[in-house]
Amino acid sequence: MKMNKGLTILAIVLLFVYLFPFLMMLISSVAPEKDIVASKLIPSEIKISNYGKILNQGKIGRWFINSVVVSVSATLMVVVMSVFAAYSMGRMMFPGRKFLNIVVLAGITIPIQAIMIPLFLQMKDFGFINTYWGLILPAPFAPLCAFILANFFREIPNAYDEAARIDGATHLTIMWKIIVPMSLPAVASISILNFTWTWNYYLWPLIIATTDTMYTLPVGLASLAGSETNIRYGPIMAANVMASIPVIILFIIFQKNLMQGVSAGSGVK
Amino acid sequence: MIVTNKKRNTTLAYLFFLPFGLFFALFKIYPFVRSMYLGFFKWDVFGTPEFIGLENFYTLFTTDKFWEALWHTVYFTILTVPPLVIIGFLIAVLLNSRIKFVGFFRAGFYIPYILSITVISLMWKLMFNETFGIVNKFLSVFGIESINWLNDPVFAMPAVVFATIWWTLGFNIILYLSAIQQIPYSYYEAATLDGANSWQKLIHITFPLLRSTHILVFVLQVIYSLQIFGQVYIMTGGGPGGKTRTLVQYIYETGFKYFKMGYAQANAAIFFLIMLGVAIAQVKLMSKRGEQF
Repeated sequence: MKMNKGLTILAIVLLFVYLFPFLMMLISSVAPEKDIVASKLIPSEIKISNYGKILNQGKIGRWFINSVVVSVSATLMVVVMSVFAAYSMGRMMFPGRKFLNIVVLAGITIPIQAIMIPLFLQMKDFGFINTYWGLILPAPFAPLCAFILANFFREIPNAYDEAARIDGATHLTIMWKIIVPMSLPAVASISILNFTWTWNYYLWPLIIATTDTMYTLPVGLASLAGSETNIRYGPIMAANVMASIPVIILFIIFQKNLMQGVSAGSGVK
Repeated sequence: MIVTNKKRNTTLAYLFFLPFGLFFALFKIYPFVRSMYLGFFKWDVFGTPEFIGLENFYTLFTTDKFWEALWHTVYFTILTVPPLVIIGFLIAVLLNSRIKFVGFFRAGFYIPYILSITVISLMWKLMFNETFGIVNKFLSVFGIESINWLNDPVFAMPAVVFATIWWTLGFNIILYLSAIQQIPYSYYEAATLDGANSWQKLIHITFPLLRSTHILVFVLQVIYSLQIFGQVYIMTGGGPGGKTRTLVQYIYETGFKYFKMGYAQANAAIFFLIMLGVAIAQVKLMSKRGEQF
């Protein structure tokens, strides 16, 4: 297959233009405010102090910790739950299996916006408002993760578990010793997806976190930028960069898994 | 023996499903069931709910703010869906057309999508700034006067639309690209033998074979666009003068700022019915299948 140089160049130009705003964010995060206000593309000096300034302002450190706690624990919870549920939906035969599948599928299509009022009231009854429990437990992305994983489990040939069962292996052994190891890319992909979604989630934390000590980064940053009448963009962009670093690192390491997960979750394989 | 085995198997299957099922029932099904009748009550969180029949819906339908929010949501959807689907398709085609470093480009175009809604909103707030934003600076090259994008009743929504397209385009590119890559290469070889050029192949092979992907991307995009909230809320706060307030923002504000839970849920119920309509349309459209990818 001959490579097309012209199209490659076109793609390079398009990508550069496309990622220009991203580049602007990186540049502004180290630019002195006077350069930003003068809309200079190349800053006169590199100022790391924007990062220090924003760290002293607001509760960025606390929000970062909140985001880590919420995203990590929600992801662990979702992945373990999803593995068990997906094994039962994808690899076991039992009456009611079809029904459970349909219910999960229906659950994916109920948008959080349609149920956020009763969900909030429920959290209030539980006493979970403005707590980690309230932030973590609703796990809005769990149905989609279980669904992706069940589809993946279903495609593993039956011969593997039959051989193991003849050797006397239990379902639990088959799950953890055969099915999960064979599906590591899919497990990785739902882990990364759930982590990224939770890390970036805005609507639910905005509702459930009522004081700034319980904000996650997305809610905190928005409040910080919104509370100032004269936003100083340098420090805000520095905060943006810091908030993006974890997901960017994950993306660089796991980009293949992530994209496979995206396609699988949407019905394109 | 076999019977007990089967029984045990069923119990085990339900046991495996249980942790997930419990969460699912508690945080998805139960609130959903409650969401269906909460709209018929007057409830300000602190008092006891009072059944008022259809009054919330009557108030909703006679409130201009609701109709405006509905229109802004639809307007946002109309403005975002066509470019996101069409540009997404075109870039996927470009990335699939014998260029080098496909993996690199695919990742590059996906990067904005991994950023959070807050990050991209604040970033574009800077870009759309009236006095020193890069957008006005760029337009001034063509002699266009500075526009106060996010505070202008006409331009605020298109500005948010532009930021949204930039943010989510990568998602559609990935969907299209993984579908395009499943089209057997032999189709194109056969077309080449018949003397078809690249344009003809695009129009007669790639485009029609992706029928179900077009529907999927289109419907997903409509669903995501109708849920618009965060970008608007952070970039314009719904302003100027409520000119960008969307349906979800109206639910959010009536529910969590004014604590009119029943009224907010009546609004959310309308929102859900709209989403349900889209989902049903998708099932109808997708059920007509031929050979496609």
